Amino acid sequence: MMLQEVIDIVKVLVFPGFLFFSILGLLYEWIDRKFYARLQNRVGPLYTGPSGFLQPFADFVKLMAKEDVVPEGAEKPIFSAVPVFALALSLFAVLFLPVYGTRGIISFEGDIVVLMVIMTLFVVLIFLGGISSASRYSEIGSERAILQLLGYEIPLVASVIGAAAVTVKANPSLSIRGIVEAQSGLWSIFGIQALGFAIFLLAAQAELERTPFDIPEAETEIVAGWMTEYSGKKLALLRLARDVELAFLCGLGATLFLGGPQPVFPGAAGTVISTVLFVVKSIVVLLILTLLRAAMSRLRIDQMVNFAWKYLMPLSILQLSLAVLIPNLLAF
Amino acid sequence: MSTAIDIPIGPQHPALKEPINITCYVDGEQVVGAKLRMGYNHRGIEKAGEYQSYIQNLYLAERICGICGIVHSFSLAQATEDIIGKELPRRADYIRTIGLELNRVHSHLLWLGVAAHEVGFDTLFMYVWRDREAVMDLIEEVTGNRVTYALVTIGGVRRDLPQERAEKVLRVMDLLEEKVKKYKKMCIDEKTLRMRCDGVGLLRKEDAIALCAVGPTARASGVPYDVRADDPHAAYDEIPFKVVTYDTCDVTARVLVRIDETLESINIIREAIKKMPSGPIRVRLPRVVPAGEGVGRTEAPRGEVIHYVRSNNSDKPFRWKVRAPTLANFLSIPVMLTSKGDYVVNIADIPIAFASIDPCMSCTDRAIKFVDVNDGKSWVWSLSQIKRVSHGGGR
Amino acid sequence: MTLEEDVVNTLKSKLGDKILEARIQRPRRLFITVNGEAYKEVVKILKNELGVTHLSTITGVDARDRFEVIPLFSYKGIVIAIKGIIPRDSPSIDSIVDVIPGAFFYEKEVHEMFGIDVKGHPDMTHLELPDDWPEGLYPLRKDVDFQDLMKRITKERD
Repeated sequence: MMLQEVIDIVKVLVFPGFLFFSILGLLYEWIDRKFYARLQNRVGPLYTGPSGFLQPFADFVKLMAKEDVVPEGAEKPIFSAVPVFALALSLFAVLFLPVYGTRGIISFEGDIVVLMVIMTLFVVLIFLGGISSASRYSEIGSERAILQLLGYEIPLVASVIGAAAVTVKANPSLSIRGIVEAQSGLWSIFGIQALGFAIFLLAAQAELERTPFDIPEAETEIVAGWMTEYSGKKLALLRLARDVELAFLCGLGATLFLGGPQPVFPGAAGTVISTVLFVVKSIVVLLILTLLRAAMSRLRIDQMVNFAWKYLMPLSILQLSLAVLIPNLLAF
Repeated sequence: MSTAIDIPIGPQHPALKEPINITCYVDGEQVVGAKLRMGYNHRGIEKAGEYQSYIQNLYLAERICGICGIVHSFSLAQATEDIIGKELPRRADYIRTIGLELNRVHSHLLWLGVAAHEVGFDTLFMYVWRDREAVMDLIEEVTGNRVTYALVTIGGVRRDLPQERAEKVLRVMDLLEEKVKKYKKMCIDEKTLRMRCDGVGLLRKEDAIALCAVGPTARASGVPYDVRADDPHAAYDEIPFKVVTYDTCDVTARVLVRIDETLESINIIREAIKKMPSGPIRVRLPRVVPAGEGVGRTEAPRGEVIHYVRSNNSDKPFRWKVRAPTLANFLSIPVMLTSKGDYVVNIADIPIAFASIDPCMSCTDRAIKFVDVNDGKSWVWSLSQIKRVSHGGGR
Repeated sequence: MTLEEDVVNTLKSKLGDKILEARIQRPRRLFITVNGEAYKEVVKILKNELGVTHLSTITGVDARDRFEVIPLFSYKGIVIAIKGIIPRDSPSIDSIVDVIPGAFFYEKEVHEMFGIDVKGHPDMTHLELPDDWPEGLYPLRKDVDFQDLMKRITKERD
């Protein structure tokens, strides 16, 4: 009994919980930066560690040691709480991901709905952080973050629920476990879910505020958007939260559409192999996201919302209807 | 209007490479007005010029702008030579032309990169700047320096362009032409880039004429104003080229004008090398310039540059006036940044609309009164402004 | 008849004696001297009769015994310089912003650098000098010495 509890705590804190995903997040940031740099004919991080892969760690440590300035006009409690909550929230979200086996540390029927709520809460935190900084740039950034949420949230939910449609045939379920188990034969990306995957990628790009949807933190327009006034430890925590969120969304993409920690061919894999599979698959998702970032320019907020409602929304609803209808039609 | 808040862009802001202050009045995401305040880069060059000889001023003129230095030293030399009234050797004219055009290629590529960055298209930015480096190296080979070229002197040029160096220039031009054509295709085809540039920063033809816009800004509004064609100087009278104009009047037009001009420049350089006569590269002119006045002007990458020189029979100018193209284009900025009727300006459009005139603050603010080694006076003025921005301070 | 001579003839036929001097320095360089009072009239004629729309810049010159305000126009490749001569003791000139809107910044500059009053200009605030620049100190005037100016500015800052 005692042992089981200790193992659970280790699981949450070390593997596959907080520590694992924090390191994974920083590693992904390095992969993202390096790949992005190579796409642009640059070398990217180079000096810290082999090929500079320790650079995000070094950045984190450096920021922790930097002076922490809170603007005079800021709402101090909210302003200071936001980075902590952001990190807590993203670390909570990763507990749902199955790194090996078919279930995460937390797993219950309907857990993907909870994940959707967490992702929305993250944007609410961004809004609070920006609006409490009492800076014009932050305020505009916050407003843009909320506007952007209006654009991509429904397509994101539709693509995730659409992914759950693969469970309809055998064992209808709204849980990650159900989705992963249903993909043991064939990954959902091979089929109608390919469209869902594309929509998910675009929505994830918007959630992560990366080009072409880095509108809330558009550098050349509003300095760093909602993050403008953050510095020192708070910025370090925010960036870590961002990195963990990146790892989370890549992992979620791999879980929902690429079969999670399962090998291509049906059959159980060991803990090590399935962990490696999970990481490799989420890196594939990451590389696609990086490619998207390199290939486009930043949209304007009105263009983004326009695009989301005109194209993304109808497509996602079409995708959802097809995903639900086709298995049912086949059943007849 | 009553709900409008003012957003200070600058004096320091990531979208600006040099200090200027644009105060934008914003209603939600929409810009309803804009005001400019400049002067952060004063170096008092015009006053300083009255205390130095013509030759010294040539090097001072070169330092007016780090990007288009040849343009300024050329204009000053041209004005001075007009007063003295002596013909230059043709070879010097051709070498000057090649220098001016290399400057243009370099400046336009630099601008294209900056513009791409302003709309968040960093990949194009990095690619263009990589190729710009080739031009920089070339300029170093031709003039001896990467910046502040010291190529032009009163009475000719200081450095010859021998055959083997000219051949290297041609080789790089071939490479560059291919690249620039690729970027042109990229700029036309890339959907998100077009979304950000089409219909943005509108400057109608009649406004461009009334506000005396110059250079690519005017040509993108359909005004075929190019000093090289209207007032041929150096070797431009013997080299055929096309004055590129577009008439959509927006940022896309300015991008395409500059890309097409880069291609034209490449052809001009090829032609100039082909036609270049042999002979001396300079004549000795007296240090003392007879009393008189002269106007030198050329087409800088950003537009018309004009220098006015008044001499009084000494080796120092009595009055030296410089007008850089950015100042001429500044009047257009408030027009571009003010929503009017169907034309809506978003906050997101400010950086690219402002950047589309290729603003060069150190050119514009050159002028006036004192050379302050500690660089200070105007900085004092802006401190309160900077504080206000950095402390946020709410509304 | 060349284009330059054409411009001179048009101006002379309209203004007669008010044109003090017209000099063609070389092809495409034309210098015309007028009195300060006739200055705006010349600009109007250039705009209305010849269709000159492009003003390249306006420069001021402190010729010790008088001021000169020189707008440089560009017309079919010709630089037309109109030298408006104004007395040193009461320097003022009519604004041409209503004729050529592009003169806005240049007139401000002439004002703050030479202390020439530009009558009818809508906004006479500083263009390039700082807002707390000493009243009545016009840096490009010949009686303002370079070294004194530097000393004065640095002293005030400390």
